[in-house]
Amino acid sequence: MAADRGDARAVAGGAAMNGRVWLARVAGLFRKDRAGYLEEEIGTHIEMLAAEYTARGMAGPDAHTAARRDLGNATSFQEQYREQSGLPLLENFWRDLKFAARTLRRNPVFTLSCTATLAVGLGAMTTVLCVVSAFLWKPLPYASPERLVAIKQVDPRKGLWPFSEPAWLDLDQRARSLQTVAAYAKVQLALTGAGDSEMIPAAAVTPSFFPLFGVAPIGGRVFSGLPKEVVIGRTLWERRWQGNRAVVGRAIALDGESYTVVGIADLPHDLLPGSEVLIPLTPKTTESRTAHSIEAVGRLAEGVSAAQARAELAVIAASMAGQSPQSDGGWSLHLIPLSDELIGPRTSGMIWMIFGAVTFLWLLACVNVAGLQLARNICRRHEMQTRQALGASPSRLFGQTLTENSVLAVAGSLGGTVLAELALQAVRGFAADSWPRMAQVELTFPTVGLALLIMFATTFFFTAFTGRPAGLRGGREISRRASGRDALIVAQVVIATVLALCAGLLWQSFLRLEAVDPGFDPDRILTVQVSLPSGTYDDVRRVAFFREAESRLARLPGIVSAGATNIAPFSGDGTANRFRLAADVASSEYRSAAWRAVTPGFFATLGIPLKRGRLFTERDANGSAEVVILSESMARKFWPNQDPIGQRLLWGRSGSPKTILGIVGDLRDLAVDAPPVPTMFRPYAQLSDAPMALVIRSKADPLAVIGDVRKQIGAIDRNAALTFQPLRLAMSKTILRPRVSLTIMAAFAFVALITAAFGLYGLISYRVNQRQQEIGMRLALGAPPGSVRWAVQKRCLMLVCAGLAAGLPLAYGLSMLMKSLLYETQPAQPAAYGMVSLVFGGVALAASYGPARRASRLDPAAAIRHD
Amino acid sequence: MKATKSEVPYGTLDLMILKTLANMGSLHGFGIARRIEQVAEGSLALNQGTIYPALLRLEQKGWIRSDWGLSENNRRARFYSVTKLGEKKLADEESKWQQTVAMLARLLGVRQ
Repeated sequence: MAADRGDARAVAGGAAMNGRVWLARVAGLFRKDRAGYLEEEIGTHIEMLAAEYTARGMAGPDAHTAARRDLGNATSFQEQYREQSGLPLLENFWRDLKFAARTLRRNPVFTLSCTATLAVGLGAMTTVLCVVSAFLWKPLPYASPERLVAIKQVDPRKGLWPFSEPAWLDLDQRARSLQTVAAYAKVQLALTGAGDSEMIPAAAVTPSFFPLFGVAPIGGRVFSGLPKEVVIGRTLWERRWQGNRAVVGRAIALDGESYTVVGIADLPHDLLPGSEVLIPLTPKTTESRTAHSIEAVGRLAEGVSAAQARAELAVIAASMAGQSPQSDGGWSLHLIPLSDELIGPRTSGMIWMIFGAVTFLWLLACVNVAGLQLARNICRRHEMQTRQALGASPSRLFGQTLTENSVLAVAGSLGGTVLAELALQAVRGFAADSWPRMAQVELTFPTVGLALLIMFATTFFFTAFTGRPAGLRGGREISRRASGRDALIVAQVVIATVLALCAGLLWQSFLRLEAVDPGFDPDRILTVQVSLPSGTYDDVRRVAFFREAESRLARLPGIVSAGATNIAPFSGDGTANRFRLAADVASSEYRSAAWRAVTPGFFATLGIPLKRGRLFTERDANGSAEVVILSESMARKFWPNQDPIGQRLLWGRSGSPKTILGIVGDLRDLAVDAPPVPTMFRPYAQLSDAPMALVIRSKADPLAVIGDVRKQIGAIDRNAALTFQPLRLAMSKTILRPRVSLTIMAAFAFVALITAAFGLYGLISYRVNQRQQEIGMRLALGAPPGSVRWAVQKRCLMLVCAGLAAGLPLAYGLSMLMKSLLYETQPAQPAAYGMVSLVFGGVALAASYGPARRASRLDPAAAIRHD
Repeated sequence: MKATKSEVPYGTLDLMILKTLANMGSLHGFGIARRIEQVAEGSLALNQGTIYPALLRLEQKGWIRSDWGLSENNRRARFYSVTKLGEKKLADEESKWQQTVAMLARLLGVRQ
């Protein structure tokens, strides 16, 4: 016979409940009159039975007693009936829920600390999950994203490069395994004219780019093949032209040249984060095969696998190498899914680092809450003992605790989800323009679901750990656990100390990085990369070109001064050469330093201070005495305790002597977060084979002078190609990565610190609350309230001191390991250590003050009875 | 408890109630208990109260239904009767029970 028929318990437990029974029981939840039915039915039953007995001759009362006896154990079957008529689990849960809400309301400090801690932990977790899923799991929002690929040129040493224009044309013509091939190059363009001038991130793209990424114009059209056309993105369109469609057909000035707006479109932000306009890219066979400047992307033809495409690319690479062995010999082609290309190894490394940090934060939050729970369980041991004595089963007590923790978890989840939404708004704000795939990062059901799953799994896990009723343990055990709780406070202080000091160091680094002095004044400086047409310039003409350019620009009304250098600051390039000191000419020992070829106007324009000697003039020309200027660090490094001025260094392998003219201030023109590199400056007139960049200091907005600059340079040579960039922008780009990683790490450490401080506060105030009994005892024995209070607080202070004693050395060790992350920040700072000690001492005093004061004011008799 | 009476065998109460209702039509709880005891001819120790959880169980499964009515002594009582589904289930359960009994009989026969 079926098991569900027989055993009422099995059915009540729902083990074999079919749908119909389920429905009946759910309905039963809302039909509380069932119990009344039973009363009445049983009443009738007893009456009838008693009537029968009376008829057999029994006396009335006896008949009723006999009838009741026949009925059996009324409590038992009534209970069974009640359990069956509804869903006992659910009803218990509902009762527990109401009880939990009541208890939690009565302990606001506990409830708030737990909820806040969980909310912060879960908020961070959800945010990171959303970011990670946007990066790693979300498919690209373009048609058949799995077939989108990026293709790179690979040099013989396995280095990956963008394509040269002729190589891309080869690829475009020959690749049959690719349905579409497109090329793009990210550029910065200065938008001038209507409204404020601004630098806008942009991309030059081939016409095939539009169908590849489904970029359809929302107004106007895409490129027709004519040069100087521009498609503007929706954000720029709405920002600059308030969404007015009349802008189509108008001319706008980009980098001082006139472009016609042909269309408006939503640009593919995953590929081109932050880009606001597209201009045509027309690769030419006449371009150099060694200039790797354009990115190749494509879509695999239907039914073609990546492996098949790679095989074809190998053939194409071989034929390219055969045709142009000089440039392409030994090179190959590399094909990867576009989604992988967009993430890049560096970004994914950073993501996993953040993931680690957030996991740590989450565990910290859980441990915090668990600590609070432990403390509270001990406070509630009387309650638990009483309930157990009254017959509550351990599983019911566990269920009760679990319900209570679930209420906390739900509150924490709500708070966490709100925090995550806020955090994601911030992420969209600051990362959308610099990282791919961040513009659309948002809360999604799967990620929130996953976060909640983690939340409830950990809740259950920690409840199983801490939620066991502490009821029936002996007194000795409880006192042992009290010392365990003290250890918890000490551990909490250790964690908080380490976090506080690390967060402080990271934050300090961040501030230093923001305020770094590059050794010159980058404000209002415009750099102009100049490419002169090849073949028409010799050294003399090149020097003449820049001299002419400098003097023409300096005469412009909006410009303060102009100079030129072979390496524009923060352009990412650098040059170095070896040299010998005149003193060690006999030896074959070479030294090495960076060098720059600069015009006389360079130092003044950038505001690099002259420390000793003199700067270059027009007279330091080709044919006159060969000269060099040193940076301060160079002078210090190679001429320690000497005056290098007038001395000579032997330049390069040829060893031709250069006289040292002067010493200028150090500059960090490669990366602001690295120390200055010893540098030698040579007059451009004496070293004129380098490609040059102009540096121009404007009176106001550097972008405002772009049109004039283009006009003046064009007047000297209309074939000179110019690329503009404000120096400030280049500088902020070089510190973007360290800045972002510092911000993130500091933010995490800070949040973790707050979490730890919360936990510490909660633990201490609980600890003190628990001692109310002892406090009452002391008061009853006549101790003055003040001294009792102080005794309690002193104990807490001692615990904090113990934590500091362990935490400070640990933080010191950790900060030594963090050295590489820090920027111009001393790892060990006595002031910071003192500060942290004071703060945690303060937290201890503040957390213990309230409860201790309350306890010392209580009626001693009441305090003794407190549990 | 008298030694001659046996407890209600595990899992048989529901079947007894169902069969009783199928034979007798509509009955109240007392009537069902009385009828089962009569059929058992004093060989069964039935805690009459336990039929009420069993009745609820059967009703939740949809095998029986109940209506209020007046008892012989003019008290309000719930009268239970078998539904269509209950009749079908009863047939199933009866044949299952027969099989079990037959199987047990064979088993016990072998043992002897």
